[in-house]
Amino acid sequence: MSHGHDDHDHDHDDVALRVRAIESLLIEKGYLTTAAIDRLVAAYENDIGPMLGARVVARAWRDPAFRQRLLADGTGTLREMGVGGFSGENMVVVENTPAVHNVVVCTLCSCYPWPVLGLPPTWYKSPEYRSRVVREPRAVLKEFGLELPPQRAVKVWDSSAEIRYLVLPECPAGTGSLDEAALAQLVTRESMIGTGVPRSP
Amino acid sequence: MTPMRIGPHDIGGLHLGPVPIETGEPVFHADWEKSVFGATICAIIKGAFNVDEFRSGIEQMAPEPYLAASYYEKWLFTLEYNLARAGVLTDAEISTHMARLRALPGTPLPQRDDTKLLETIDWLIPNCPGGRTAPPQPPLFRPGDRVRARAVKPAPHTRAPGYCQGHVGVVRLVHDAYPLADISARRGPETPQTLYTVAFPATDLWSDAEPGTDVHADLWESYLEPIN
Repeated sequence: MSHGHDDHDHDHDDVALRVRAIESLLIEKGYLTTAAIDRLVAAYENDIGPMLGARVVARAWRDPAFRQRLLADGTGTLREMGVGGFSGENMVVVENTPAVHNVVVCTLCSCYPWPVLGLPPTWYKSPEYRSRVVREPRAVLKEFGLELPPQRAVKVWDSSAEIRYLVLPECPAGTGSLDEAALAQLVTRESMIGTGVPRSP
Repeated sequence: MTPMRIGPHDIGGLHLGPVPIETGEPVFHADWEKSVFGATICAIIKGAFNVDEFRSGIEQMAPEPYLAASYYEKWLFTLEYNLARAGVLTDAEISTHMARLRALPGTPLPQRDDTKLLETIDWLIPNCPGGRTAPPQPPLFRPGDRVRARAVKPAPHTRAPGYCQGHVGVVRLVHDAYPLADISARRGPETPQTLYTVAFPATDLWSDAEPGTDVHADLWESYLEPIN
């Protein structure tokens, strides 16, 4: 279903019309309701997003025992914070250290840990990111404004099956006096995928 | 060695250009995307097709349309593909209805109630079980084992990325068993197999890859063979 750029608006109207037709027919056939669509959209527009992962990261920074549990059993430990479910049923958390930087991708489609980060951004799903980050991650990270020290190893995690990954970034310096809520504000979505680092206080 | 590709989606390792980064983007860029998102998930809940068939459907796109399509255009493709295969909705029905909507532009969507569907959605979002089981036999491999990723052909679907097929890696993580996607995508019997995270040095996969990079792929046991 390729687009000619000149026909973009025309094609777009056609897509919207086509989708509306499919929506109507599926409702009539008992597969769908408008309330169901609204419920799903509201969940992922409002309730489920990177702020959930940020709270987990902030707690891991403050609570070493929680951090250990999180790294040993991502799924079970996330449940302690009421986080988990659809499209992130099997979670592994990988930690950044001075020696290792982690970055997550799904080269084959766009698998992503919805329960901790919400729906993925367009760049994560793009052929450009999916193709290049396994082969030249540092060059890709530079496009995000992140330059890694040359001696730092990079581990790329390709979510090719049922496991979903969350990066536990390093805690920024100068944050000793901040509480967990304030720490969570520093944790960006990109830092939990590996294409960025947390903000400084 | 020439890497084998398992479909138009098997793009790991290609050079496809600068990453398009849109800051502050909305979750959905158009109302039709919301409808495609919701309709696809509801169709899966209703049993018209499963998640592996969803992925496999996208992989039926031809290479150029695949790369040109936006994310939700891919979802639309597989939604239609799978609904047609399931006998739920045909292209002819869609075209007929589109003509009706063009003739009567203000036509509202049908209003139906389906409380059970809403309850299922509310339950599924936090509680989706995810297919994890104990393995049917003891895992073949342990962390630290060197393994070779087999040459796996899609029939029509597999999750063994072409870039690692034929290459030697090291098992880093041994997970529980999950139903093999290859079989689920063709509606075969649920076939749990142990899942492994296997690390490959990127420079083994591509000689010009950045050194100091390890690529981890999650591979089912039948995708791997021992190194002796």
